[in-house]
Amino acid sequence: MFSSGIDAVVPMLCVTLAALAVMGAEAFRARGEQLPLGGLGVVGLVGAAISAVLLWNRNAVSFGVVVADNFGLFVTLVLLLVALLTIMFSSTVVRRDGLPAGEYYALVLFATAGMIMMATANDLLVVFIALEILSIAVYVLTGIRRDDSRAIEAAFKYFLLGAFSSAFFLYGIAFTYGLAGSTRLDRVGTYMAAQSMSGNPLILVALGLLLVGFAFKISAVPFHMWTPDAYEGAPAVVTGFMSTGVKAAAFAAFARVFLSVFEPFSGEWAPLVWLLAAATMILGTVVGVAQSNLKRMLAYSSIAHGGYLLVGLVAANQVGKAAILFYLLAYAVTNLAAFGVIALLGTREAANDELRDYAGLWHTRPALAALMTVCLLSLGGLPPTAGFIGKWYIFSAAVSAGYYGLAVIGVLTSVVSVFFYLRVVVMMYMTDRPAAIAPPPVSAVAMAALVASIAAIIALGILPTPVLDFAAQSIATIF
Amino acid sequence: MTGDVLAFWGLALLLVGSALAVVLSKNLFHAVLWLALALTGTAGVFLLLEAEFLAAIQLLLYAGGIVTIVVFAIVVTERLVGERISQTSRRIAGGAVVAAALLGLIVSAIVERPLAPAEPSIGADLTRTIGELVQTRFVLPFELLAVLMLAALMGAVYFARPDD
Amino acid sequence: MIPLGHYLIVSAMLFAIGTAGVFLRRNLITILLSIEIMLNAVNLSFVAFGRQFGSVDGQIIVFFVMTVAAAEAAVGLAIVIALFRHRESLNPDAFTSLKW
Repeated sequence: MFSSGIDAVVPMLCVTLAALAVMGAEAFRARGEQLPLGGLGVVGLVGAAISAVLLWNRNAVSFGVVVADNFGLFVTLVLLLVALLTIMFSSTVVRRDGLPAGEYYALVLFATAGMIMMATANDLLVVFIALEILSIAVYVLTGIRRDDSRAIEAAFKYFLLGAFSSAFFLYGIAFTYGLAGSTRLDRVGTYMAAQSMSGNPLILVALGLLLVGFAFKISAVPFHMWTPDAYEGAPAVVTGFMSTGVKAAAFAAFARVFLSVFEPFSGEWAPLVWLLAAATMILGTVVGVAQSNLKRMLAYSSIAHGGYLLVGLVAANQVGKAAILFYLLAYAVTNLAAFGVIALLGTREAANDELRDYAGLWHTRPALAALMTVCLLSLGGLPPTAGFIGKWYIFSAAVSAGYYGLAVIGVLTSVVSVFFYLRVVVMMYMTDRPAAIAPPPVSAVAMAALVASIAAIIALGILPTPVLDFAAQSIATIF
Repeated sequence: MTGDVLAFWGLALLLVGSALAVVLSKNLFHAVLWLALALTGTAGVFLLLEAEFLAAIQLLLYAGGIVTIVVFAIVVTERLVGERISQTSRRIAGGAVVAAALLGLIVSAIVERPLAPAEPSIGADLTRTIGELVQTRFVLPFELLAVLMLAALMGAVYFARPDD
Repeated sequence: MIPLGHYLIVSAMLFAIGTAGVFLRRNLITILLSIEIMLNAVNLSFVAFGRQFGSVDGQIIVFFVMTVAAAEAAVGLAIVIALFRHRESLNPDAFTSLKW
């Protein structure tokens, strides 16, 4: 199939090569010439997806630090889907907003490569470097509209808090290395299993610092301060990309490190993650209700969804494990589609992302309004959507693991969140006032991406079993 | 061995002192110079830890490279403003509490830690060993660094270049 | 020989000072400098631990971290320059369009 030694890095390699191809094409582009750079990226993503499928069930290990187990491959496929949809939405936005196509697509692909590496890394040093690749690419993407001072401010705030949290994460790696003598997860895991009774306080320090680092990256409360600003300031299509891709990659590494390596210490970290999950669900929902800007509201909503994922992590029993991966997929598709609609409704001059801009959307853009409605219902967790099934499995996992408190908080916050999602729906359908939005044209590619996402949301909501089985098989490889 | 001990305490004092000066200094240029001193002091500690190669890299890359970039950025931004960039302290209490709590936790854990076994010396040709390991066991992280640098350079050039 | 614990405590002090510096946040560039101090503290820990194991792994990791820190600093300072074109002030409190 592939040459033996590098199998596990082939998906990441395909995406990196596509990024290099985009950079090369941009460098030799004649002034004013339009190149299909997005298409070049899609070729790389498809190649990566094919190689990921071929690697399935093979548990390939490369260089001893990257392991393409089914868990990593499942997340890789989710990340490739995220990148593919992002590029399809971007085709319209890049042209409309006059974004630098070469830099934009190359950075999306570099970020995707970093995310894939993070999801499949079996070594804390590689996790760190992959995290930095994706972070740096996303900092720049946040400020890609550098003529917009809000975007640059958002990029800088994101950068500062990102670098700050990376330092914590790295300090945690230092203590882990100092204890286990290696950064490889298998060796650290062996060490931790042997030490589970020793009560060495340095293990708790290492664990705490790593937890803080991950909590920043998945924007768990109280480490979420950067999220609303970064999400609001960035172009909507980039917000969609980072609210799903970064979160999925960080969550994959988080699950890998905490559910396998630090599993012997779950008695110590589970209560902390419990607190993070509860605070994240509550704050994300309560503050989300008060927002008048749709992008900012969805930023808080994505914080809250991070909280639901954390519930799955705390209740890591047989149901919970598969639920985490299913939820990751359902959330990624839904959130990306929602931000895609926001991105497509903007114009170069105005983002049109205030709640009032959506008044009467049904009368001017019925298709987009209908698609947005499905996204919002899925985010709210109403049947028959993917979001409903995801939440159902997460909460039933929490109940069967005995975490009734978390399940109750989860259900209550979901109910409250339905209110603010429905508020947007009501705005779109019930308001008679002619919409403020001058309907911009939507390209066929972007529309195809939207329709495909909506189809996926409904399909996952009606026939979740195959994907759930798939998820259960995948996560079995790391526990 | 007393020479080592003396050097360690001297460097420790220098490091903590200059780090405090970076954080507390009122003048941005002074803060950068203190940072350069702290980074140079760290190179000294690396020497004590028998990491000669790293000490050299520390001076070249960190004390040389990063400090130069920072000075460059200050010069560029200061010219735009036309006045000295001021430093006004804020939220000292909050920062001090968080930092003290963190320090307390970590130091108490270190003090409590069971004694480590005797330390063998690294020996051998250090630079050669590092070079070989970077090309073998650490080759993937090393290649990833290339991707990282490429993305970072592209981003930095994009932000810093003037409008077309 | 100086015990490992001494190095770790110096490193923890540097890390705490850097953290405090980020919280004081008076100037965007100072915050960056504080983060550099934190990374430097972590590097010290890596080398001290590596010395304890008699292994060069710690030093190689530090070599990587330095490269990452340089890349981060380059991007950060480029954003500072871009920001400056819009704001002409580096005090984070001067940014009002997004809540800080």
